Amino acid sequence: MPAEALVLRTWRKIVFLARALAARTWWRLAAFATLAVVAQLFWLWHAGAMVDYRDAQYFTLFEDAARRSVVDHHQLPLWNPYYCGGIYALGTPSARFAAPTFLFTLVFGVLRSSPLVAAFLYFAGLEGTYRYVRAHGAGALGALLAAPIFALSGFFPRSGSFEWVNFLGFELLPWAALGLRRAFAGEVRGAVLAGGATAWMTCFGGTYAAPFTLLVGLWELFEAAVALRRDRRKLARAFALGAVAALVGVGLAAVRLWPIAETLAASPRVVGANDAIAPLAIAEMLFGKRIPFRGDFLVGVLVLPFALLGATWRKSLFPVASACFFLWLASGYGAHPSGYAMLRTIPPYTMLRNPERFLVPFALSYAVVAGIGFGKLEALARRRKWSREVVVAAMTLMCIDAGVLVDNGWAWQRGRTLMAAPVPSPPREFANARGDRWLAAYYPGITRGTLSCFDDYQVPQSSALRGDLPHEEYLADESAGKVERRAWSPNEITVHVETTKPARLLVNQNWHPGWRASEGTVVSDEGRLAVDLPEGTRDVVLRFRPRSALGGGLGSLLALAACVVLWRKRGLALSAQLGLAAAPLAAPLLVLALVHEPSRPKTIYTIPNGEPVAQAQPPADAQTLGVKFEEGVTLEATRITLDRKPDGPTLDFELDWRLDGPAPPGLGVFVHMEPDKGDSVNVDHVGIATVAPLEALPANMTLRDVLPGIAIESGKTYKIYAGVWRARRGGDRLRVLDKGSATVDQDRVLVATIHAP
Amino acid sequence: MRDRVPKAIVAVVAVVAVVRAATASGPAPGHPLSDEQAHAVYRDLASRERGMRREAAVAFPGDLWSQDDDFHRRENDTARDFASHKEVRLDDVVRAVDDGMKQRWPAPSRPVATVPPCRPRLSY
Repeated sequence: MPAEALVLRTWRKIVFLARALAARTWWRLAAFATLAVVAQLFWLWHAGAMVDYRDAQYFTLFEDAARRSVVDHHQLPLWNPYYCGGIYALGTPSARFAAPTFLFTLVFGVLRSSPLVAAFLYFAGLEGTYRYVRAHGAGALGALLAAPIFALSGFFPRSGSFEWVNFLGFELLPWAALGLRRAFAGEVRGAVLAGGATAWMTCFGGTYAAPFTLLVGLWELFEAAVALRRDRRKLARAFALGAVAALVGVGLAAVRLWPIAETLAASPRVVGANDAIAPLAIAEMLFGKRIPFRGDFLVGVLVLPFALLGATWRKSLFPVASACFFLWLASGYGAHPSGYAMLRTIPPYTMLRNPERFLVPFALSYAVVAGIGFGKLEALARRRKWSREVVVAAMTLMCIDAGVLVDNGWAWQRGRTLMAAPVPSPPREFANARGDRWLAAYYPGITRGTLSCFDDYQVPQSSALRGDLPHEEYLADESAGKVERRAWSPNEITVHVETTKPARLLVNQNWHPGWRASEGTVVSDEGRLAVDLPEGTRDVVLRFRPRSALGGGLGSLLALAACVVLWRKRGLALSAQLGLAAAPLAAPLLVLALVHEPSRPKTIYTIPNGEPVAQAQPPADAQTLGVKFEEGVTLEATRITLDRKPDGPTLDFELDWRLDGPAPPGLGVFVHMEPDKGDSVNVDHVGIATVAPLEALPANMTLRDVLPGIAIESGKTYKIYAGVWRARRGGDRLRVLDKGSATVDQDRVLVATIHAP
Repeated sequence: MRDRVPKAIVAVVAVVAVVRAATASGPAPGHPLSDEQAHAVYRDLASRERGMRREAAVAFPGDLWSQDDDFHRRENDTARDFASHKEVRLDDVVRAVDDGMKQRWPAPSRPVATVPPCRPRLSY
């Protein structure tokens, strides 16, 4: 036999074998398991090391704090005392410990479990994508080859390299989408699958994954509605099972959803600038620029021909449309009109940023279309004998693309700078340190919390907490008696108090309405945890028992039980299925009605000297400007004080704003300080006096935007311009309608000219 | 038994991953910090704090949290430099700063003991 024929025959055998392997579940799982582990090779090789990246510090700390609560204190991880002076662990949006993968953390520790969690989720993502692509009509081999396009796409190794392990929850997106597809086709198990996958993502800190799943689900719903438009009964059933999926998802995730909703209601997430991503930049993220292919969201250019081929097929209509939709969203404010801008007006999408992350659901649609394209090629090959060689070549190309994705992942893993993992010290009394969020993961090991912290929402944190106290529990009036700590754990603190008169016990941690005391009344003292006590001798036990943890936890447990019944008893009537899915939500409602919890004190936004931001009029010595902007915003006055400090001159800077009515969301203040020589300094800010955005402040009051201690350089003359822009929207400036007594240039107001001595 | 081989492959792959994750060794943590070194690093950091805070104030005018955060970034750099230069544990350096503040170790100036509440910027 000639050599060429032999090679061809061998290749055909390989194709035949691959097809058989793809169709047999355990063989396919073996292939995916191997690929998932190989893709994490370098991460596994260095398991246990700390990634030298700022976000790795607090993500590691969140998981470690939960692990310590369970392992060291035998408690549920409700309160995390190690960060920001104490935060509600379940209410921390990006914490991942409430998902089943926490078991890995409990067994192996945080840093050793991370690559195992990643490998497990990659494995889940590969199988989920395979099934989802198959559900769209692709063949077994096409689906097998398309699975890595999504599950190994550049977003996942990039997230892993920053220790953004919670973002790996996106690997469950195909399961959620598949579940919804089946639910809309009339299968109740599909609804359970969709709800379960979405809840897992939510509990895994999927601040983006869960809201994005909703959009993918809307496309599935749209497709089902079109397909079933002539059959009203099936359409109604599809909608009802969609509702079951939503109820199951909300029920299972109630243990996180309620606490997170509470946290974000009290502490807004004011992030996200006017990101615009150019088409070329998107192409580069998806396909890379040159060999070796690298990209933040790499899906590979080698499979593009199959995606294009698949896109010509009718069954690809909806995946292609959804791919285009997500590309549109990913371009952010760069598209006109901008879908991203529209989406950011709808909760919870108002809180999202980085529109390029919409390339993750795009990758899923791309994988589907590529899988379908491969199937089309196979169909052609069956009809025309000459094109069988093309299938062999196509399979080779898709395998090479998977190799490119693995290589890209390895590059991300190799590119990490590693540092020694925290080494636990001998146990000692817990206390808060001033800390350093850039080293946050090192604090729990030395039994300290770090007050210095970061998260991308305004953490409810008291500015009165201190890192230099001799004791963490003390009396506000030291002459009233004495205090001694008897026991400490994250959720429970016992102190012995002896007082000769009524006194306030202060705890050097943040207050939260979930704290309860065995004696006295729990109060917030400048945001600190405190208890007002009568005179006498007693042991005071402070317990953290938030209502939302109880109600949410009960809801989740009942939803889990409901899922088991729904899964096992498929023959239940639709009304019974709906009732079963909805019933667990009664538990949180009941707890809300029956369990009392004090409401948070009304937030009074203050300027640094303690006075409220909102006052009747500007300070007496402020210079009146009277500049009117669009949207009913007025710059009433300004006040600038020059201060000579030993370190150099500083400005105490104040802009006094007034609103005619409620401000539209997303506005920010820009301040440009332009020196006569050297670079300009921008003092742009969204929070008035850095504490609250305009939309959170009252109308018809003077809003004192005080910015103290702005360092400037000696010998320079600064022109200071200010104005208002749509900082969290399109980025355009508000037009000046009436310039009052000020000089206005390009919709910015010259508020002062200062010479720094 | 059906599918024995692929099931065995899954099991072997899982075991290899778990064993590797459980036994891998990362960068060495360094030596424990002596008392003398602990006082030295505290003194060094405390003496630099004022200058670092001024630089942070220039970098983030008018934004108290960002200024404090930028100061901590600089403090982190200094702490890590010390740990790597002296080949000591970073944990111990972190602990020395805390011990120094709580026990009022002698230093040219006293570090600020409070932090402004977390107020993240629009983008990073």
